[in-house]
Amino acid sequence: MIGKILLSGVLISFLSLFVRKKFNYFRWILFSIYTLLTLFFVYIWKNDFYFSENYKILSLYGLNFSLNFKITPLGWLFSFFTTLLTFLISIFSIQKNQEEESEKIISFFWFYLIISNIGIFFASDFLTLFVFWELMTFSSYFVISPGWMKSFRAVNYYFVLSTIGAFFMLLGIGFLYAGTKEFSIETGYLYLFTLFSKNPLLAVLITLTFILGFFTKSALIPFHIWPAQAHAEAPDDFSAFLSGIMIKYGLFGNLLFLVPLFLLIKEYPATQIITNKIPLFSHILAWVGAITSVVATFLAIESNDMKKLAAYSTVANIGYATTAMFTLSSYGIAGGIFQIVTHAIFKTAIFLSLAAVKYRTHEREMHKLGGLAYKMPVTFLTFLLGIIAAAGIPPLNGYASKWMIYQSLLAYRFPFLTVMIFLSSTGAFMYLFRALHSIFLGQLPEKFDDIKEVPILMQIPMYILMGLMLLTGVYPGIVLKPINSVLQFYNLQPLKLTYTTMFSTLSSVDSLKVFLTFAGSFAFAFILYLLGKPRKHVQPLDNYTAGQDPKEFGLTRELYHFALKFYEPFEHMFDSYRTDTKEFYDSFERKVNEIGKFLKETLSGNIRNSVYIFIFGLVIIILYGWLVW
Amino acid sequence: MNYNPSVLLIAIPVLSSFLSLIFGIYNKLLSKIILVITVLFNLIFGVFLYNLISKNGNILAVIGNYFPPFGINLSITYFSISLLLLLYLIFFVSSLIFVVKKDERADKISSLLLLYLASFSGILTTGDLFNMFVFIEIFSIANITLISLKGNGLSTKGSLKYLIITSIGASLFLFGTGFLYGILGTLNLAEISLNFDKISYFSKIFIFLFFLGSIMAELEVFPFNFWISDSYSGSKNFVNILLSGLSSMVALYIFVRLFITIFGLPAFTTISYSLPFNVKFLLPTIFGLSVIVNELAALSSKNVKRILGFSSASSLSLILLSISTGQKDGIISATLIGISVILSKPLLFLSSHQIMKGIKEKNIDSFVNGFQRNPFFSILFIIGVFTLIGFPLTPSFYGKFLLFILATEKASYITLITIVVIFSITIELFYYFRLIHKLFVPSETKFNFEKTKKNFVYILSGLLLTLIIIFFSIKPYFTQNIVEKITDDVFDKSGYIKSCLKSGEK
Repeated sequence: MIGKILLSGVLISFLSLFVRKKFNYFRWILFSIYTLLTLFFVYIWKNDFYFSENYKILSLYGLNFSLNFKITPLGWLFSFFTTLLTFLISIFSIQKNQEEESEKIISFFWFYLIISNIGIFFASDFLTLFVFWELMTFSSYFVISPGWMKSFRAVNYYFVLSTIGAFFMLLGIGFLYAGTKEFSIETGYLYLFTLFSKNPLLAVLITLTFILGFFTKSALIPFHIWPAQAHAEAPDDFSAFLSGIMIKYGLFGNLLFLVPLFLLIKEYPATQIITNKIPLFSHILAWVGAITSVVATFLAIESNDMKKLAAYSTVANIGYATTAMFTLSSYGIAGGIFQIVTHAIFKTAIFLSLAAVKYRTHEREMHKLGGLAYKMPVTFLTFLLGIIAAAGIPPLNGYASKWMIYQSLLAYRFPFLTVMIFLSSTGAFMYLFRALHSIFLGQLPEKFDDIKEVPILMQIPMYILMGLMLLTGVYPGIVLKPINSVLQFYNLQPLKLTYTTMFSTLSSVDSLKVFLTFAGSFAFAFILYLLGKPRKHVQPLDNYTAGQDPKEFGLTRELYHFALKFYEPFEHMFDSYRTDTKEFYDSFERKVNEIGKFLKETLSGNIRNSVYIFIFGLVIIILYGWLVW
Repeated sequence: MNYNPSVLLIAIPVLSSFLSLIFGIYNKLLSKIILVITVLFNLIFGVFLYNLISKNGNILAVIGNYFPPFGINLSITYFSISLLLLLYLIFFVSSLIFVVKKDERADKISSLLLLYLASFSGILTTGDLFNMFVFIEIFSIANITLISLKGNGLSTKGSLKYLIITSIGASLFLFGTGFLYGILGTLNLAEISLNFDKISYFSKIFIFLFFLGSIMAELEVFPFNFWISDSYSGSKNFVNILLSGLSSMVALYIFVRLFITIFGLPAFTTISYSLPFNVKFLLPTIFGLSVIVNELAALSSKNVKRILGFSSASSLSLILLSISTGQKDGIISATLIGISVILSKPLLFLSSHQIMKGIKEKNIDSFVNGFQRNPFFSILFIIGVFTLIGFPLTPSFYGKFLLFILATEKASYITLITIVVIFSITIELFYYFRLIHKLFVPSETKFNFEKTKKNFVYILSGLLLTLIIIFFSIKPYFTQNIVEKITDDVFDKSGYIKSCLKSGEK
């Protein structure tokens, strides 16, 4: 069935090429239908765990090239939520892409992303995983930059980093194949575990190649700069996909390969250094996650571009999840996975609302926006709930997952990691509030006076996302129950929980009660509001100017909107600690280019130069002969 | 088996080369017709010989009834005939493209092309070292003249560079041949191969380095790759196709023949050398370095032809790298990548030429909006790129994958080289994706492009190459069969010697 779904995706993608530009909504409806179909099938597979599907394709040159799929609890969880969110994004896209240029290329390659999505999550061997991984990288290149010069530079960051990562992963796969003579993932980490005692250097090398492969994809330090480029410049609806779904592939890889490996080492610590009851390797990676989250938070605070801000926020959240999962406790892993799911939901909501803002205003710089709350109420509400979730305020879903992460870090004694996560989490308030203020509150610029809410087709997914955020926040058991089966898959102790209550070793929380408390206080405040004195509606501008017309002073409304350089004093505090990673990559690129230019110029210089090079080459050959004589 | 008519592969092109000059005096069209007919003859006769070899094993053609090791002989193995067939195909495409163009010197050029045909047929079939030298000389001279056809500064410069390097290379080859003749008293490849171990320790180094130095220029290996830059960008399109898909492969054949069948000691799965120094260290270093240098040079180039030229040099170095691993799997992977390169590089040159048609500057910006202007050739270009970089199911996918598996079999020097090569493959991916990306960029300044004139021959040859690529991709077992036969043939040193020396005894 999996194979049939993938194959039908390929067919439908070619079918969609024949839709005329005039009827392009039909192309996107086709896209939505395919996603819905995939979602349906993924849903009915929920009872078919460990069902496997093998396609023996070829047996060539002593190698078996086959596509093997297996429905594991982990893969199912990831694929269900990602497909669900893709479906919501695809509804949004129908309207959004009506007037988009090069939407044909976008939709065509997006089909392959859905295909590789299913392929990656259900892959049961490395070869299948790698094939879909590369398919995903190649096709996302043309979705991020479908012939746009503006996103060309951004996509190159993404592409080069991803390809290098993927090739390193292939190197690791090759080493494992040399040891096991098969591509199975499970045999792979079992073999690697034994290799740690036989040949530690090689084992560390192999582990590093996989870490490189997965960490480049999920943008952990020092690869944290590509999301800010690629997410910001990609088509707006695709940014939601990129940030909500695609960045999770790296984390999925970690959960698929590295976490089981470290769990084995944790259980049988024969030769490995164990710190704080987890392997040193894993501890370092947890720290990498924590540092990433802090750095990304500061970068998000500094950005003025709303999509860049959201992208850095994504990186910070990836950091939390990485830290949690590499602490290797059942609470940590569950918290990490839960964070991944909740982040996927609320980040999709945030990016869709930003896409809606951009759809109407065509602006990305936050200081050029403002006061859109009254004009676009649904978008505003989606964004509001999204950032409440992202900041981890109850009763929305971000709270539940962050609670799990804090509990696991504290219970297993990682106080410094907790501090880092807490720091980054507090920083999240700063940039999220700033975004809310700059985009939706404050003064509405005059040019946006007759802006309207986005069409109903774009509103529907936002309503659903709001509902999802509340639902998974109030009933975390919906997500945590499947996560429990993932924990069983790792042979870990499942969590103790009901649909609304989460227990940890330290404490427990009933999120329904939390929700009711919040709802009660809101209701109380609302009653007070109703009981109060009769009020008059005052324009936001009148609030600022005490009723005077600013034009009399030669001022405009925009000048009252304080959004540019919002945190300047705060930013100056960190001036001396700033390292520009982007500049590092840029300068690396320049150096490579310069070497290339030098070589090219030397090689295509005049004939005299060529003769010199030739003589040089000959001399080297003669010298070599002389030396070995 | 003994089959003397196989000499016709060389004789007919040489004869028609003169005929085309003579008939060209009366009508230029006649010489073009002679060219096409000769190529078709060689192609068909090649297919016939292919079947013959598949059935009966290696062919030996004896000239003047002097049986080897005396006299001149041709010795055609499965490897040479299958490579020859692919090369004939490329030559056919290239000559078709030449034929439809109007040129005042058509008779001379077609005579030259026929000479070229004769020379590389000779190189691939000959069983005699000195004959090989002669054919290499003819081949180089034909190449030099073809490069300089355009007549502008760049092409003159390119051809002069090529002249310098090949003449010195040829003299090194001659030195090596002289040494061998002086020591062993024979020029027959099979005889040399049989007795190579008897040569003294020091002479072996000499001979090895002489031949290595002579062949490196043709192989576009750093530091002898400086002629690529000008000769690719300065020459005509059909010459580009010949240079990238054909010349380099001919050089590759010489390398394989000399360094594996003749000097090497191919055992069951590995090649070793009875040499005092470690060839397994020397060759991968040179070729790995060469991959990187060529990729970097391609990255920084702006001229599309130059990019493709450097890129073909780097693919050639990658092939050589996998050969120099000395493993059987390495040769298999080299063959697979080789098939992809032979088929995809001409396709890339051909389609990029059509995409850039009508634009004066041939740099990467002339690819802008290429898809709108010329969707057919853009798709061909994309197919070519994917074939070259190793998209799943294309031959080069299996080739690169095998190379990876080979390199990671155990951590060794080759692994290190491969890791470095990975970076250059990333660079390759980067600049090819940059070109594809440009195809989709809508042009900002409104050029008044006319829709590119449909050129029947270009479409036909592009389709032909694409279909063959698709055939090789969807018939993997067929490809595997061919590739394994080629590899077995390359490794079959004793078979080569036997088929050459024994068949004279009947």
